[in-house]
Amino acid sequence: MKAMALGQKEISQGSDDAAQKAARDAAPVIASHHELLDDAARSLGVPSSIGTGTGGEAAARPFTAPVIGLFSLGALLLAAAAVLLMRRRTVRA
Amino acid sequence: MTRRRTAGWAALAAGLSASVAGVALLLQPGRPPADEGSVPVAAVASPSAPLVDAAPQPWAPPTRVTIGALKVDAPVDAVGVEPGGALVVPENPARLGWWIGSATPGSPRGTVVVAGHVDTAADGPGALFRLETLPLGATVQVRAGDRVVTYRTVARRSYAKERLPADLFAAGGAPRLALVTCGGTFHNGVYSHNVVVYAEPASA
Repeated sequence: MKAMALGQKEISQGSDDAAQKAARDAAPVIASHHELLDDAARSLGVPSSIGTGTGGEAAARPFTAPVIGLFSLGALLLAAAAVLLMRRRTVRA
Repeated sequence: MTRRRTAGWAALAAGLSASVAGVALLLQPGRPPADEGSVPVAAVASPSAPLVDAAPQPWAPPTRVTIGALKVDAPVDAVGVEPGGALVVPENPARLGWWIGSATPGSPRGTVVVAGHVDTAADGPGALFRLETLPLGATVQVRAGDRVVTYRTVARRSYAKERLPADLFAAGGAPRLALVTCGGTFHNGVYSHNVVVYAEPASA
């Protein structure tokens, strides 16, 4: 991995032509080694599960976006109902 | 009854219904987030495909993931698989794990699999605590070597635990990033689902 990164750095930023050519020539070889390493990693096993939570806090989030939306809509409609149902009062001077 | 009062009663009924629905949702926390967007295809690479692409590619493992919309800037460790088949995820919930068998950022094909804790019992919320709220179209930047590869989120899926799709770990296919964490209900110390957010290279 590090060899790949160093090679890419030399290709993109290197100032020595010979070093750049060497890095360019080596890139496919290093890349094929990466493929072999990748295959080796796979031979060790492909994940069958991913456990990424033991706290339970994420399940206890009560005020999600749909909850907030429904409460907002409800409050808006109830306010409108109050205005519409309120009897008009005449204000006497 | 005037038209005004009729509208008032209708608004009252609708308002109460919405409030009751809100309460019902409030009392049912822990539901996995709804699926959204189209998952980029991850077909298995053709056997005739060249082993190495003609142009040299920047194969370097990811070292950092930045999600601006969630204010996440987390270091990434290369991780493997436990004997039982579970992906090894860094114990520190502030760190993420990149599966060493997956693609590297900037590769012309394959899925970059990065997983992180939503939370832990010991340390509270993890780096991906709010992943399920990340909107589609958001930008995710992955540093690999000297490069920063930018992805754009295109889909979100909730999978029941132990039912992760095989193509998530398949070699080849369209270049994509998969951010994985937990979600859903929580019983006996484990979550019911994995939440996966898929992203494509921004330039694709």
